[in-house]
Amino acid sequence: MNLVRASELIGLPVVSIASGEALADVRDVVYDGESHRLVGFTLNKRGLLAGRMKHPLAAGSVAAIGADAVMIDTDSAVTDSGDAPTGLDDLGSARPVLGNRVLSADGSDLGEVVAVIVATGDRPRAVGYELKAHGRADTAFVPSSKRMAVSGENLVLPAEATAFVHYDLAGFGAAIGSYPSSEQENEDVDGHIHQR
Amino acid sequence: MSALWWLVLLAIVILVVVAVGGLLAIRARRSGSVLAARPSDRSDR
Amino acid sequence: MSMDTFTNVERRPVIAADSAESIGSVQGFVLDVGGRQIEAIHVDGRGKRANLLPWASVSAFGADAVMAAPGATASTVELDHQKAAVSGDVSLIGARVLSVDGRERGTVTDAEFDTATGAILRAITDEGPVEANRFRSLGSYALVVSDPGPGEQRTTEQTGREPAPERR
Repeated sequence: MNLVRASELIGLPVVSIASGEALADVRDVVYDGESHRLVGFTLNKRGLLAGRMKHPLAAGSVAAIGADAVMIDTDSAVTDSGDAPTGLDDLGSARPVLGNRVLSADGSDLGEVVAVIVATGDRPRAVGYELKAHGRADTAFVPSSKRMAVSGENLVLPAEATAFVHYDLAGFGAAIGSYPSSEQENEDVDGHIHQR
Repeated sequence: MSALWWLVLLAIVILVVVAVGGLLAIRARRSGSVLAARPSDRSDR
Repeated sequence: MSMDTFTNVERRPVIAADSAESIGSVQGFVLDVGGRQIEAIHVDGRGKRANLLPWASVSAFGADAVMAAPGATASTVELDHQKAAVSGDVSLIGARVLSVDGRERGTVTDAEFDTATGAILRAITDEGPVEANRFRSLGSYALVVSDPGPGEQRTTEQTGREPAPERR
């Protein structure tokens, strides 16, 4: 599993393992704002002047996400004209996240979202956010949790998340394991945060 | 220079502006973003 | 088993064994979609007028000439993958190598094949050889290959940015 910034996936070719053909380019990266699981991608047709594709690519149809391509098993994952995959049928409610203002639970402005960190692998999901505080040159990373709310304008961090801010991606990657991730929370009955 | 030449020059400038604008518009149409979806969209208002 | 390489056999004459007449020369190959087997040799012409000699009609792939079996005739391109091969859209030589996990692994510079069966043995890339049993597909975008064995596994990120940490 690797950590990548979601924006680095934009523009990657979608390549079929069965045919060796590139069938589309990634347009939007869509994840679930609550569970933080990757929902899928909307697609552009290939070619500089080509428009967008009607059908999105569901995360479940993705075989692998690499540095150079999003791999799918068969061409039908993007060419099928069937129903839109679950979670991607209502993109009207999906909001852009980059540039959102980051607020702590106690109401202080922590900066703005400059990136969403995605863990690729069998169950790709957004594991955290990269923040840029006003007046700071470097950026910070904070792990995602179910208690975060993102509206398209603001990202509100729960009080406990502030303690998990890291100022380098490597330290962040090591720390995700010790932080109650959204996935673990989902498996908890009441989703309470474990205190350390 | 005659007025005709100025008209031709103006036409060329307009064409170039339209072409560049069109290309930029197409590029903007293709540019994607990172979106948070809310399948359970009910309590956010 | 005798083998030869794509670049080595380029322009090798193709001769009809019964009439001793020239049918053409090796211009390229049409491979199956998996990229593991030569289906036909592109012997002459371009585009719609390209002529293909089916591999089944090759009686001997010799060191100095390719001999076509008696009665064999070159056929024209019919199928999409034949057109793609003749036009150069799909070509093993020059193909981008892409692993099934979505990472580029160099470019194919040459390929070795079995001159008796037409089976592709391995691709030579600028990052080392890739055995044909790792080929998954050959398309216009890439030669998609399975991951190498654990011993050869590479972990370096190739984005040129901050190294992404592995999570255990």
